[in-house]
Amino acid sequence: MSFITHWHPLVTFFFYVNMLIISMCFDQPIIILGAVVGSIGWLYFLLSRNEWVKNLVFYLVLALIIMVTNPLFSHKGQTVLFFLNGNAVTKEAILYGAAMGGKMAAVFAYSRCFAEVFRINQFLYLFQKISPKLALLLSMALGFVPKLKRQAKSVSDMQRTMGMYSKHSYMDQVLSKIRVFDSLITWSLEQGVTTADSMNARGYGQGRRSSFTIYRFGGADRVRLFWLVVIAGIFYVGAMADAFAFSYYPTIMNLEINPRQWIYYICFVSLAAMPICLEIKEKMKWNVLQSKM
Amino acid sequence: MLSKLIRRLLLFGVIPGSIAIGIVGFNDRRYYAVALIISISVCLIYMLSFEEKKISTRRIVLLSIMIALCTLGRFLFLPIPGFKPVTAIVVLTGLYFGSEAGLVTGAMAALVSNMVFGQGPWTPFQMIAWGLIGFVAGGRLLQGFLRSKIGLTIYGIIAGIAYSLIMDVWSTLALDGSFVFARFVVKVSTSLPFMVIYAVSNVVFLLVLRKPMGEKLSRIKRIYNI
Repeated sequence: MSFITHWHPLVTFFFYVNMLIISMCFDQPIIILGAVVGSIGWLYFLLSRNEWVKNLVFYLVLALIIMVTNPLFSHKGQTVLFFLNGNAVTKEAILYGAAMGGKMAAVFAYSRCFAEVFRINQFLYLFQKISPKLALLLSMALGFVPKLKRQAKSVSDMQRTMGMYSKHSYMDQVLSKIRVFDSLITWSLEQGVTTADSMNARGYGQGRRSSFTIYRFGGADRVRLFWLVVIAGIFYVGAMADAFAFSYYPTIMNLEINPRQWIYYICFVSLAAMPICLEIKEKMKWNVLQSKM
Repeated sequence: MLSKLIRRLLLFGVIPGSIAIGIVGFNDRRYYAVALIISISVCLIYMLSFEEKKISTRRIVLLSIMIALCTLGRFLFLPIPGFKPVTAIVVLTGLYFGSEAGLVTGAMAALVSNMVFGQGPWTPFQMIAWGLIGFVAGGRLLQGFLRSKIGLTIYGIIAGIAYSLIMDVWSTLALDGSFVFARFVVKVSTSLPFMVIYAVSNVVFLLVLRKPMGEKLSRIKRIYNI
């Protein structure tokens, strides 16, 4: 359970979209490093130790593969390290591959983080804003998944008691799976029509549709959204002003930061480090509360 | 009104704007970002227009069941990578309930099942791939062809290849940010086994489900006038 789960869905989603854009669109090493550290560091608080290590290994392998294969497709760059099958392998291409790998890892890690903190009803809330009808479709589909699972189990139990399952032949097992699925389709379609008729009888589709949500856009959310908009805004202003322009080809650009551009970097760091800082703060608060007991 | 305005803005503002900025501002190298913005906009435009469509309650509930079946199918066959009944169910839905239904089922099946399997920048591409497969299957001209066993087999193979190619475009773009054709060729060749699995699983599931599911869908359509 993460603190961010209690945020208003719009604020969380805004943060996610921004972090995705930042980790996908910028080539600058500091930005990529920040995004990678920020996302993987945040993931550390969200997953169990074991799962975190597993994810980390996956991202590392992914980044390595991209780093190693990039010189095979790209022969740009001036510093030739060696020749492979008559093609130049350059330092620039390898480093560019590493940067691409980092970006990819950050995108994956941020997506994983948000899968952890974004609940399905928060997702549905966003869809309600786009189209209530679509949100209804989605929430019903989500509701039908466990219902169908339960029905499939009860049908297969029933058939087993009737002696339809014979453990001996593989073909028989496959056939009984199909039989279960068959009755599942009939059942669910009939069920669906009944549901629809019942909805109609209760007046669904009459007049304007309202929808229930438990999310209130409170004062704290307003402050968070305002803060996010301001720092993300300053960051994009910096991006427009080419503060993060960087090129790997033909030679790698010198990484120098104009003193006047520090503000943009501070904004970026506060964006990337925000979830980690808040998680640590929350943990400390918890520890303090526990020690008082 | 607001929805219409947003749709217009997306169609005539965001999509051409992102292409223009991609070409002018970033030397035509930001294919990934541009492709992502366009595919999200396309999904959003469709979702916004969904609200204004006249769809009976029965139809909405039935579509949600088809989406749930897709999700369940993807979940049940989790141990075998690539071997999924989703495309088959989407194709059959399109075939029996029309293009629109195929499109909605395909796109939403990607969205809903990714709530279990993980959302990410790949979601809009999957939505478009499955949505298109369902949409084409519902086409008037293909109805006779797809009701036959051979037609359905051919369509299953084509759908598998198309899905694989669309997702290869995504991964090429995601790897590099721009579209390097050599990389795309390599990606396609490395994902060739998956392409074969997709095509085979589509054909298997289509042939297995064709009779039972087709009968049931057309029966429910006839009886309840959906």
